[in-house]
Amino acid sequence: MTVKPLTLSERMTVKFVLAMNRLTTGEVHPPDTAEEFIRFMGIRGFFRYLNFLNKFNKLMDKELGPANAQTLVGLAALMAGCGFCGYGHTLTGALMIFKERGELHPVHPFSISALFELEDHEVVEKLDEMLTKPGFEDLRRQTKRMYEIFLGELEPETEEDELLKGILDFWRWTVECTIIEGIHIVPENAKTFNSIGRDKALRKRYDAALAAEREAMAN
Amino acid sequence: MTADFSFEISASKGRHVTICLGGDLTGGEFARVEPNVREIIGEQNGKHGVLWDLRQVRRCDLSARRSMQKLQSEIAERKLRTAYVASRPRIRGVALWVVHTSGDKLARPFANHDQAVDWLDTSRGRMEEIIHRAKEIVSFGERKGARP
Repeated sequence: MTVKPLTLSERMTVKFVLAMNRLTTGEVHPPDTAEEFIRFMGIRGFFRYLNFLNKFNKLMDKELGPANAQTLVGLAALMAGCGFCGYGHTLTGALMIFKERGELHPVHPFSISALFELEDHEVVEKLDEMLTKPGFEDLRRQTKRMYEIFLGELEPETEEDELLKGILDFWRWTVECTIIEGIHIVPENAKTFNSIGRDKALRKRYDAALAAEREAMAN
Repeated sequence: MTADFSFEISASKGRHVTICLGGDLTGGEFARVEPNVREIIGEQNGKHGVLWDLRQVRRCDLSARRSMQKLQSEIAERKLRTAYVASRPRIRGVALWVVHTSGDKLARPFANHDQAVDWLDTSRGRMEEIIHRAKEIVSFGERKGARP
């Protein structure tokens, strides 16, 4: 496939988007995904998408809590096969829990990376096992139901189910573009998608705690 | 060639073509499948869809992915509808990458075989499907107070 080159105004928009992203999240995001969004949606379409994304984020934060919302978005991306959103959003959710409770989230880029390779029924089981940790009861239920909705095994029955379906639909739309990075990204390169990424001291403490936990599990 | 790679192509009159792949998919293995698929889609003359059944595929290397993309571009030129069904997230990601980068608006990945077959029987394109879903989400968001 010949990749359509961006126009001057599209290239300027990509630079603006990356700069805003850096300002908001404190992270340097790869240009490929921003370029693909602009190429795919056009400048106007992309800003309409961003505008609704902000509103949808607020809705998810209100209904599910910010940390669970981020983790569920990451898992919706995992189901679609995209590591870029899968790793980035689960990292964001894990940082939020670490800041709030000082504990490590069982779902994070390194714990989900192997799940990409498993069969769906195995992924469902593994996630259910991971989320038996006390304090993650809501997320465990939401994850199980969201996966069942994704697989077509459950029709949404409650308002919460409708929101979970909305997340699946919204991120099916989003990963159309992020898949170009999401197909080969490794967990080490996960980027946060939230202002929590600007807290570098928190990130340092989190990385150290996670490295210690992973080392203990390996021994 | 990998020992456990398998493929089977079936096409019944008036129905879609099903290409079942299994095991570890490499560029070399995919090269064995390609001529058969080209021959069948040539005979199809744009009438029926193509179902890639990747539920038994465990891994797919970069070379196979690129060959799949090239073949999907050819399928797109013939305006044949395509569905990919895969039961591993990684393989669905590969399918999404293939349909997105091939620019085929009539191709989509699925986790569920019935949904994949339904897709072949509808007339809506992937972009129309995404826009339709986006409208549903906007409508849901509005009901919940997230006005776009």
